[in-house]
Amino acid sequence: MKDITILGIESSCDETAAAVVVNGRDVRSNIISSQIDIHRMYGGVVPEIASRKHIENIDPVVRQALETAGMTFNDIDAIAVTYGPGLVGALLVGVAHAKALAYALNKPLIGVHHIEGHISANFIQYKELEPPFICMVVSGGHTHLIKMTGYGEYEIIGKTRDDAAGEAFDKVARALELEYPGGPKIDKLAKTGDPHAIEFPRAKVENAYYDFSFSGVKSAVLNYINSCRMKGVEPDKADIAASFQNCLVDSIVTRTIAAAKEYGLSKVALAGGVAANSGLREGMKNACDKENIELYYPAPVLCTDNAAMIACAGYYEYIKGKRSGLSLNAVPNLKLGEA
Amino acid sequence: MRILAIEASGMVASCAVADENAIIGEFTINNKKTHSQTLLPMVDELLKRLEMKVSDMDAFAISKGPGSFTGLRIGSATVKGFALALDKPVVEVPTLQALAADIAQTEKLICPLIDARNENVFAGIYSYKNEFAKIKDDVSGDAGTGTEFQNVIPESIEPDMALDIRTVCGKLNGYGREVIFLGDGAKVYRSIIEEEMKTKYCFAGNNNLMPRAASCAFLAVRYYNEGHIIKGDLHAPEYLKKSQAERNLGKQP
Repeated sequence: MKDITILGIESSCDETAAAVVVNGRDVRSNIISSQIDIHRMYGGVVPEIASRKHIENIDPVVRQALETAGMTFNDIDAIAVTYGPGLVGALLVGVAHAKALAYALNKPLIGVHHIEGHISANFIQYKELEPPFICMVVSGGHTHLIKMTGYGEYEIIGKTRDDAAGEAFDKVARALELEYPGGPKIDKLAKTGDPHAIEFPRAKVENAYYDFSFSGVKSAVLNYINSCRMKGVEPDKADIAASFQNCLVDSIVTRTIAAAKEYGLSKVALAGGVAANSGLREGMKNACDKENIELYYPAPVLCTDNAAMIACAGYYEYIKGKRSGLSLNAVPNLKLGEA
Repeated sequence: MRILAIEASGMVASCAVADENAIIGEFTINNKKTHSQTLLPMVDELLKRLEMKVSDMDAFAISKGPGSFTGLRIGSATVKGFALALDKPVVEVPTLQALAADIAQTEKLICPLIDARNENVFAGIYSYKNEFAKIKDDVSGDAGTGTEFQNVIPESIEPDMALDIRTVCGKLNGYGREVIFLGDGAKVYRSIIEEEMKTKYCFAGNNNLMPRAASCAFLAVRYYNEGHIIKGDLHAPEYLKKSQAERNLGKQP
């Protein structure tokens, strides 16, 4: 069978990325231009600045992806681009650019759901991994427990009712006066603290065992910090980070394992930016080992926003015959299952 | 030589193809800001009607701003994609100059205004210079409709600006010349202009109120011939304004 080569483009938040991937899993290049240093001084991603940077970076990043792969546009079979969810202004840069490329080159265009990209990062990391498996998607905007039934096919088992896990990390990090992005900082700090120093509440959603709620624990952390300061005591940031992270990890791990057992699946994958959290990886690994479940998670570079994962997801859509038209739009609130 | 021009800096979505001799085709919609969905299908439709392909173009022109930040980026990303895919250059055209070029040769000042909300505008002050006089001398002969005529373009006599409408009127009053206002800002702030202007002025008609890709293409042909072309990588919109976050950061002590 002829090789299928996909050029992936991703610009949903603060990374401008392009990648060339052959047959879905063979990454020939994975170029990421991060803007973290720019957004750090604002304490978070500024959408207008992110969009402006995308426009400046998109051509060189695509060029570099082709050069690193040792290819030209002639070698590309189709172009895959993230069209949601994400920041609308940021998404629009990638979408408009990818559409113009596809149109001028007369190549097929495939709009990809950003989170389906994150899930697909596992296919790149593990060449042998095939559905079905349970996938726990944890990122700044998502906390979804899903059952992958096929490539690009899945059922949502549970999701957060309020904050996403990554959002809770960011808010707690801000309260602890940690620099943006807060997730990795909490992870690092947690290693030096006692995870049982403070017992934060583990919220359950009534009649929906697999759903999550993180706003309660976030508020509990904020209240705890405030009450310490009212008493004139400086809160132990390491203990707070460790206890908070432990609480989140516990909520995520117990539900994931329960889902794997209920659906009789012996494979569990992590996906999304928070999948890079070492506490989550470790907690999930220990729990999976006990239950004889195989755990999969992408390398950190594939957990962050990247275009290789978009090209991978795009490949599986491509071989199913999915094509997007010239009127493809950015959909900032694109839901999982709507792609 | 053929150029495809894109105008997406505001409410108008527009594309046009031009060469040295003519605007060959234009597709303009002044309806909703749905450029992300409509612009590329419009380009496709225009090129199909002209029996051309995007690969037949020698360069891609972009109305570079100022204007709606998002609209500008949709246009920019599209033009960059074309240029990168086909290894062709980009021609940047100032949006306000393209708008000013909608007014044919005149001795009046031309003031294109783009509404930037809350009495703020993106404004330019343009006029036809020496070339106009040359054409005027020839008005009885054939030269008035010849090549020279087509190549006359309005030039800015001040850098394009992002200001409140009253300050712009104050600047214009300082020139003591008659002014033609055009652009969506002229309509939105008509009453303020009427209040503030001390010199003679008039408003352009609805046909001249909006930036159009044909004007952008017209200027681009000239820029292209003068060698004002760049690699697409180097093109970024001219926003004329920093983002709100950057402005706020600047205000902090």
